[in-house]
Amino acid sequence: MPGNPFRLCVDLNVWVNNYLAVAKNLRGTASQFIVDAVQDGRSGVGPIQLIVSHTMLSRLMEVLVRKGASLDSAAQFISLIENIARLGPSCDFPYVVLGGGFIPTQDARIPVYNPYDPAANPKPYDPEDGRVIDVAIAGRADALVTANFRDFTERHDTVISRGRVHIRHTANHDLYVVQPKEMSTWLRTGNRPTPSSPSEGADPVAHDDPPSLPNPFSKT
Amino acid sequence: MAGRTVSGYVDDRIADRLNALAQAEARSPANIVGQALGFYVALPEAARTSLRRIESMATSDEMRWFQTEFMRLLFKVDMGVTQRKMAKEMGANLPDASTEEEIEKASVEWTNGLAR
Repeated sequence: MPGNPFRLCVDLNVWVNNYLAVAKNLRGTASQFIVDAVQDGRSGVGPIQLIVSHTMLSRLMEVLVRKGASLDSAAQFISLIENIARLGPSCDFPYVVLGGGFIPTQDARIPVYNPYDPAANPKPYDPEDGRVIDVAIAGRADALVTANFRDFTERHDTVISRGRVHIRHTANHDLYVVQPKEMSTWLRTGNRPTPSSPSEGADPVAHDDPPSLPNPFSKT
Repeated sequence: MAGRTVSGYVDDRIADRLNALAQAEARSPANIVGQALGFYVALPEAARTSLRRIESMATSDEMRWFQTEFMRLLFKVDMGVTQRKMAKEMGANLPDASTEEEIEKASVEWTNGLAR
């Protein structure tokens, strides 16, 4: 097969988005285009390899069952996603990321509270949430597509389009974090997103997140 | 299942594989043959001709490519069928959303806060 496949990690909300669009008889949404391209194994960027993990699959199943899908249907849906990943072009089995949470998302951060305050009611946190980006990095994904963008921004990211396309820098690997609309355009045209205005391109990310630990592998 | 019995010849390799498949899927060899035959005879004539030509003339690479693409198509159709079934099962739990933006918002809500 010519060239390396484009390695794409698809966040759970994009799978759910595609499902809801199908359930609501919508056509041509960004998520539908992305899932179609992943199923076809190709698009304007060339061959596409889906990156997914067992944790992501089991959490997607949990969401679907919680919302009323039968175990049988949800298990079949999950199994099809796994089959798409295994079919290739690189034939990646779903990943198992041990440890994880190396780069926590907002939901994965332990909230700070006073343990001696009997009235303290800390916000629940979700340590598994950080593993989506860990899977993308472990699977050497070219891009992670998510509609839950704010959770995946980090102050060391390079901004291509604020709140839409960022680049996460890790050791020897850069990961694009992309909103579904921009991802579908990228897949359709094969053109990697570029800064939309001269002021964007290397800005730190501006948001209200609590400060995170510096990334020791950051290139900057 | 009521029906008629038909007979055919296959080589040892296919017969062995059929038995192995039947065991793995807990079905009878006759059941698998019936399903395969039903699929084949339902194809249009042009498709059956192409299939015969592929089987007799394709290289192993071409055959592998054909099988991969066929599997992709199967998975894609199955995904559509499964999603339609889930939509029926969820019924009233589906969000009251009709635009792409509303559906995107609902999908983030569904997948957020899994710790709760």
